[in-house]
Amino acid sequence: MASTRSLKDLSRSMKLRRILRNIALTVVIYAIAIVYFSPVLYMFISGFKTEIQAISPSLHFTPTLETYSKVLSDSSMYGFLRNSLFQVIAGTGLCLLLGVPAAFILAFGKFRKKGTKEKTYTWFITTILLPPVAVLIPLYTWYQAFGLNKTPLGLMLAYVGFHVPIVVWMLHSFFTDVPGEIIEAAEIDGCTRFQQLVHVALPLVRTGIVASALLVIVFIWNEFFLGFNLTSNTTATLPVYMARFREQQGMFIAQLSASSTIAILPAVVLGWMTQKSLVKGLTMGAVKG
Amino acid sequence: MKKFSTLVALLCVLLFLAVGQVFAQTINIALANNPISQALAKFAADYYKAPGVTVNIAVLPENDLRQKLTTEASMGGTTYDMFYFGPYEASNWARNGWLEDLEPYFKALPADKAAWYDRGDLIKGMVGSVSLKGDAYAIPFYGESSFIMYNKALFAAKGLKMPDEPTWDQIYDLARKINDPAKDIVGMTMRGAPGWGMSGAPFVTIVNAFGGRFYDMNWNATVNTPEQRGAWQMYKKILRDAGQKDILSYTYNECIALMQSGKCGIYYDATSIAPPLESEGSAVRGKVGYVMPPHQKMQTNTAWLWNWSMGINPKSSPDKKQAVFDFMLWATSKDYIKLTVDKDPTGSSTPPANRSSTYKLAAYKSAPYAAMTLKTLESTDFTHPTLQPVPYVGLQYIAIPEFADAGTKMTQYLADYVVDKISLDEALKRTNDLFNQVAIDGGYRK
Amino acid sequence: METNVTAKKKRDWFFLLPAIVVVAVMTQVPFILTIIYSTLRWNLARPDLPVRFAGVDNYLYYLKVPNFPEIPEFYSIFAQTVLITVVTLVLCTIIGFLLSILLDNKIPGVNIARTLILGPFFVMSTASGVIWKATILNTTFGWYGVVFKALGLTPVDLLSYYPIPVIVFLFTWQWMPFFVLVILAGLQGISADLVDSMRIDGASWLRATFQVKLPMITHHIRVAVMLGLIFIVKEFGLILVTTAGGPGTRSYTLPYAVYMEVFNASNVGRAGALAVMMVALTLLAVNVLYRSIKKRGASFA
Repeated sequence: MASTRSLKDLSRSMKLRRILRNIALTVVIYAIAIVYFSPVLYMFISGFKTEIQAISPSLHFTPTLETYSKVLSDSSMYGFLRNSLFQVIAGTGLCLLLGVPAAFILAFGKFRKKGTKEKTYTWFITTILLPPVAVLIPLYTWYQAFGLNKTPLGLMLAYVGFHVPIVVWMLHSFFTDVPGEIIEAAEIDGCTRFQQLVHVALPLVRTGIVASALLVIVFIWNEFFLGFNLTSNTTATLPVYMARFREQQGMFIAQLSASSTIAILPAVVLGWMTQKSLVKGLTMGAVKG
Repeated sequence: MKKFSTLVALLCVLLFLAVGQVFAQTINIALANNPISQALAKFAADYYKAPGVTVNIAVLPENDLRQKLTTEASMGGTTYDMFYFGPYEASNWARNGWLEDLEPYFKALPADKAAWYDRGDLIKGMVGSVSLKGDAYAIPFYGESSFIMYNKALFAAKGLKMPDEPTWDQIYDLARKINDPAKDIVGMTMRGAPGWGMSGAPFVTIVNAFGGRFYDMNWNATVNTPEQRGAWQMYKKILRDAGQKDILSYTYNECIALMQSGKCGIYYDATSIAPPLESEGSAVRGKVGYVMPPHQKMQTNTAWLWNWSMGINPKSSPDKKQAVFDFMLWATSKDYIKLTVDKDPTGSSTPPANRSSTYKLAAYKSAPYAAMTLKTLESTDFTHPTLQPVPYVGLQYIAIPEFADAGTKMTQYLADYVVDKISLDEALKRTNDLFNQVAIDGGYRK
Repeated sequence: METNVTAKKKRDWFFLLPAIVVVAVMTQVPFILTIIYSTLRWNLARPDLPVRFAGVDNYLYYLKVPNFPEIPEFYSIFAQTVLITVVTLVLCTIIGFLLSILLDNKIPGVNIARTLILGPFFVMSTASGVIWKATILNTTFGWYGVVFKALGLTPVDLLSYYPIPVIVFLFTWQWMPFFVLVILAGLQGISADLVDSMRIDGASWLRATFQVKLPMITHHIRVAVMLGLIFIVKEFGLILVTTAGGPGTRSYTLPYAVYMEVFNASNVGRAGALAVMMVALTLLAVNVLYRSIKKRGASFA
């Protein structure tokens, strides 16, 4: 009798301990997460201040939409926003258009020389390592000479060149995971390569395509170096606009906060919404290899 | 498949939009982010009308602007149709053919327009600083010299008096007496952010005042001298003993904000900085005193001289060049000055020192800084910058193309020295080596 | 039949070529040009001096040590780049691993916590740089200054006096989430059976974490480190908006030095040499890491 009771006590106290432990863990994890994210959070909040309220850091204030609406109606940011959207849509689109078939062929293509596929694949990977500063001077010269910095197509071209290898690299292992027999069967059925890609392979690598598209979108949206050097004022993107705040002084913190909130929102929300497929894509494509 | 074609269609539309943009008649202009240029960007957007022309103005951080335009001019790019620069660039660029000669444009002006513009009213010295062999290659938009601004209220509270023609030693003593960290009061502020046109400007005038020079007549670097040493030490001790806390992040924008807040005693900077101090919202409005730039060993000519000028990119299309010229005329006209005085009676948006007539405007003449601005401008001579003879011209710069880089590196060593990352000996030695290298690489030393 | 196969082989090239051409034109060709430029004496600001072949002069300009105990600037910039990158990677790995262990727990709404921690990775570096500089690190208007003053301390200007620690801190803040992303994926890949059996065996938390779990995810960690290396070495925007390489050149990194050599000094030849050396060093570092991954049996590529 006594022993069962103590056993019950024990299990109860263990349960209690686990609950307490979980509560402590929850508090710790949330504290860390909130502190970690607080600069972004504070930025979001400061956007609801007026400039006078924003000049000294505090959380006591009456929120107003004044600054956000001022920033949104100001035409200066709008141009940069439009350019960024163009780069993300057109750039990512073209990256996929070029990168997906390339990755597909690097998995299933047939070439006369052995090792062509491996060599080409390694070549793509190596270009990921190339820092943009290494190509800055010639690109800058071309862009000046051909006026490419005055059209968004110029920057887009550079973005495609720098991000296609990422698509190829991410997708390669997704395609190699597709059983070769399926493709061969399709080939025997008389499917062209194009049909094999679109009807057979693509549906099987959807996760990979979503993940690599996301990664490229986030990279292009946040890219600064090329955007800073290969554009003019009419074609520059949001990161360039944000960098101009670095020498502002005095009454600009509310405006800065509201502007950066708008500038980072698309990438952050997209990243959050799709973190699962990003993880999947990274572990499938990049980590597993 | 349907999704695919939608995507392609979408891409085509976007490409089409992008190409369409190129054919619109837009002139691109980049200005520096100083108060008077920012005012121009604002007024141009609201009041500049030219049929068929869209003016696109970017306001860039000053260092960005310099770097972008220099590379653009040297590579013959056409990102910007109008260049915005100063005498330092003008002398090199005009010689290299990187600027359009403005004389043909002035000659082509109809008589009534020429009379309206009244070219003779532009201040001669300013025009001269951006001309080559008598031809104007740019029009000065506004000019500046440098002087001391001080907070009279803080001086009165401590019972101090600012001499009319102070020495750097006196300035340092006063700054230390005013400095009061417990009350958040800074003794003196100066630009601390590196860059030849940033901290380089006040610093080189200190070197000049101390009797230092950067080269002797044979282009041997002379940074490692007692005179230079004195100037480096003075710059450091003012900022360390009595200056702003974030020394190295202070461009003039930060300095202005600090001075405006009423928590700073002395401020040495451009004469064009004064208007914002007297503008609405400034805590020191009406309480600022203005005196001559400090001297030391050298008695006069210790200020700097600069102007922001507008020139035409010679690689732009003829239509755009004409459109830029028209814009330049508008921005430097009497009408523009009148517009700025009307819209902003404090005078803080009005470009100073480009037209003599500005100083006859009643609204402007009464400004507390107007007389001292004229006086310092008249006291400067950029062809004889130093006590001992030198092979270069320029007061706060050396008019050779390499100075943009060498001067910036020098201010970086200066910054290192100010925050004790390197010793004075090392800073001087590195700068001296650097300037010697420039003299050899550039083929100046014979 | 023979022609049919050849035709198919040709057809396969059509899928590959557009990608190769674009990538080559935008990356490879300009890089080769950069290598050529690096052998020229070419200063854009001096069109009066003819462009001429200079051999390895531009490289020597950076590499030669004229009076020995004095170390030329290039070496300190190189050392700073290595220091910033390595410390950032180490911090990212250690903190990232510990945080991942925490986030691997099943607590209510753990996804929200994960999401919050992931946030900074998606924030563009120029925006986060300016925000940190203006609203937090500023000694007068930032939280740092206000809190320090409230505590009766004098806030020093961190960006001027401790530029490298600040940059490392900001890089880590930005890139650590990425490490968490990858490492957490590794941790969640560890089978539930194994975890349960460890619990039954009564393995201590420490032992379970470091002796069982850690070895199982080293591959994930290596991949995170490698990708982190590739991207952190390139980082430019954050440095430009926070310290601008200062004070002096105390926080210059190689990319920033190349940028300044082009746009401030207009010296194409020297900038080219600097860029080429930077690429060579990056390739070397990545190669070493890559080999260490390969040795583990699994392949990255």
